[in-house]
Amino acid sequence: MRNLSLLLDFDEQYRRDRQQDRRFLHRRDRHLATSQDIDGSRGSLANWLDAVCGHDRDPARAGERLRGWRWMRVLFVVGGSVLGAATMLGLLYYDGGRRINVTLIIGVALLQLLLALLTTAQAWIGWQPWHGVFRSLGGRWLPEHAEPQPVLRTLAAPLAARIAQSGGLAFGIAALIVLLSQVVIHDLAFGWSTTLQASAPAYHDLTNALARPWRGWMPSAVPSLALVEQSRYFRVGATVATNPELLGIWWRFIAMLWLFYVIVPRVMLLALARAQLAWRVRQQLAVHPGRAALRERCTTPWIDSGGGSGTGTLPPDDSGTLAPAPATPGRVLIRWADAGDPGLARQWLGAAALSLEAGGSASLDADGAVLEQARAMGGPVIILARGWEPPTGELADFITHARRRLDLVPIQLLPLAPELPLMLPAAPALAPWRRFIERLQQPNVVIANIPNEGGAP
Amino acid sequence: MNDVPRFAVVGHPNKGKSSIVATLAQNDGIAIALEPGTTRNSDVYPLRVDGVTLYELIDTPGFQRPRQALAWMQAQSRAASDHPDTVRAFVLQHAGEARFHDECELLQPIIDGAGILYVVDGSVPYSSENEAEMEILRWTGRPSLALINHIGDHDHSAAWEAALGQYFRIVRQFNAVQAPFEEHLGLLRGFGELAPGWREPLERAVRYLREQRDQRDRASVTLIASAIGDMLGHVETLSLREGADRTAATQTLRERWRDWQRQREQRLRHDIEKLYQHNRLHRLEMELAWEAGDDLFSERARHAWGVSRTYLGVVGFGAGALGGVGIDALAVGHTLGAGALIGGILGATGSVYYAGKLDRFRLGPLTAGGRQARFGPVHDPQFGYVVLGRALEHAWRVARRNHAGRDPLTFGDSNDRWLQHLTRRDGVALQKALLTPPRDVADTRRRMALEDSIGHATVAFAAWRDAH
Repeated sequence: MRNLSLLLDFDEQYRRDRQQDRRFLHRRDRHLATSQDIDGSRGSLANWLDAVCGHDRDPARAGERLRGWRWMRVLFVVGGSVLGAATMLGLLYYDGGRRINVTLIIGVALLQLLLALLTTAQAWIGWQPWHGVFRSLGGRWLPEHAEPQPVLRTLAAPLAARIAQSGGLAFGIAALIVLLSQVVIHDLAFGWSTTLQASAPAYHDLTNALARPWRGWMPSAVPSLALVEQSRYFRVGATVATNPELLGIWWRFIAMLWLFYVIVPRVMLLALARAQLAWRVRQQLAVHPGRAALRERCTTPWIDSGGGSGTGTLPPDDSGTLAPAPATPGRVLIRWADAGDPGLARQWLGAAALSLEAGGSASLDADGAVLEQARAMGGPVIILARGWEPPTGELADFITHARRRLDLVPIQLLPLAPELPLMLPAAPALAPWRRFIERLQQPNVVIANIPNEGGAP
Repeated sequence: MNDVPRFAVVGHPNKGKSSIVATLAQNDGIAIALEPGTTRNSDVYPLRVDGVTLYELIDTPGFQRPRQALAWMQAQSRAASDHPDTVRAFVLQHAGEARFHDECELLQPIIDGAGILYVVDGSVPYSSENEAEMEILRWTGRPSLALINHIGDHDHSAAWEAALGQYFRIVRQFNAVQAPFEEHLGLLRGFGELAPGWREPLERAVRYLREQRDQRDRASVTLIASAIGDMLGHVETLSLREGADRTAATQTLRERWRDWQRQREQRLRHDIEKLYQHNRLHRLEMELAWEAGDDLFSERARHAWGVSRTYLGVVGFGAGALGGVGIDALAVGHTLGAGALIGGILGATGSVYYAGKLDRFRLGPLTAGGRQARFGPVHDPQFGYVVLGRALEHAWRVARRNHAGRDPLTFGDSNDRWLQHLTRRDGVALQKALLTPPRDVADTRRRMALEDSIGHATVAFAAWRDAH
């Protein structure tokens, strides 16, 4: 059954895909959709599976997963055949003492019909009283079937119905074959008997009604009133028939009865079970959770915005580093790119201190002039910078030039936090400044803190 | 390839260029580059739809020596008309030179035809240091847009706008960390206004990105429904020998069952984060232990996301009555509504009775190998609401989180306030779905009912969160 194996393969792939990254799945399926005209519809599922599984997709796999059910079917067919043959042999058992009771055979045939109908009804309702037994037997004999695919569990009822109807059909056919062979090789004497107060005409009416399906085209298989009257017997009484040849005529009726009330219904209900299974499989394929997801992946464009390809790295952790020492007061304070206030030089370094401006909108020549002035003043230099701005190459160049121009006087870089009162930035924001100074590799250039109060010379 | 709109995101170092790119490219790996000046090369982040590139964002290093570069250009230029050629000449002259490596890297895509997105930080005061940079960008003659990003808490955007307006025709504000998704799309549309041929591909990109967002929201509902189905139906089993200690077995099973639930919840979170391309969030979550004291089975979780007994009773009545109505229908109304009434009473009683009774320990029949002890599935309706509330809260925050965000996720509290945004009918359906989770993945009817209910719950939750 192609759709069933398609469903099982699809379900297995769905369960594998649940472990995969959704982005990968979308990219894969959208690519298949655009390159191979796969849109997630049922018609395209086989192609999708072929494309996704490649050489791994083995048509025999589905058969393997249904192995338990197949074994069960064989068991039912073989068992049904043996039981059917045995049942008919039992029914036809004739010891010469009393006739074979047609009433019993009619009863068995109608019971078979009832069982067939009940099996079908049970499958449609979905009642599975045998489920626990099958599961424990399956677990013992076929451990891999102890926990079958969930999707297979939903098909258990129609699968079981199909098996039961197959077994019933085998039962009916085997019984019919035995009946016909017994008719050929034995001299069977049929009769009818019942404890109920049934008259021959009433019994004739019953057989006539039962023979309705074939009486139009095979009247020889419909017992006549005379046959019914003459073949009645009682357990106690004369057992010798007045016309033994007549009693064998019943076999035609019994064969047709068996054919129409046991075999034909079983054939029809087996076909119905197959149809029900096919319908369930189609339904499961339609509502399978993987189908909607697949359709969505196939029909929506694959958008790649480069996510997941980040190249960022975390900077080293500087949280344990000690705070910089206060700046040694000198006579020059350089404000880089308008950092701080022009009055800070006087406040920190005294009235004679020089406040100079570099960077920002100043020209490069102005920067050079600032360094000349600083050299002329002599002593340690403080360079104020905006601590919230990262150190740039221009600041690095300025410090490098300052180092060359100012001999070995200390150059103290003081990055300020944006908030008042003035202070250094918090450790995470100060860390880039520390590493900036390390990268410069210039002697006597340090990160410094706010000078101590009254530190002016 | 040359027709594809390209945007070079440029600016002073550490002003949020990478944050802008991270948010627009949905790449939380970019925002981790915390060290200013360490981005030394340009990185291209294309938006591809089915392999077709609609636009490219180029994350560039910041200006390091703009005054020196401008001084060189001014020395070489003779008239305003040669400014673009002078910039090109600068790049050619200094290519491979360590001193102007960053300037060459950032100017190269611009002279190759990229539009300019100049990024400044509006939370720090304006600095004249930027003027040389802006002048160089003006010299390139390329279409440009200035973006005022907000990295800190202060607002100096008025001063920035006044200064930027002198150099750029379009100035926009955009908070890369907090801007909602619609603003991302609005910004992309703005990029399309920079050149006539760029509007159409940017409009298409916006449309696709919106569809992608809708698709992710739907997938998020499916993921949550799947996890809740798994969690509510999970059973832990243990083989017990004759005479084994039942108390110890219960304890073992309870711990195993709870560990499994915690892991399943973590897997759901991981899946949701991956769905929205937050690949680094989980790691941050683990590092910062943001969930300390917020265990799935903690009193705090139950208090934050559980529902009142009154709510359980009222909604349980409705859910039970739904089942009873079926009996009334079968009896063609001859029961005079007794089915609905009895169903409602049973539903309400069951919901209230099982509330808080999380443990469900059962022993199987005695066999040769002993007995099988089972823990679960849970019948406590509170548990479903706790799991659902936490999942919705997490998904809501992840979906609205920008990829430039670095802060760890934090949870709010709810009690059952968000449920007030559900209609009564959806509330009843939700409780019914939580009490009857799918038996397995093939249980289509219950699975779809649960997904439907969680879809409605997601909308209600978002309405509640957005309103607060």
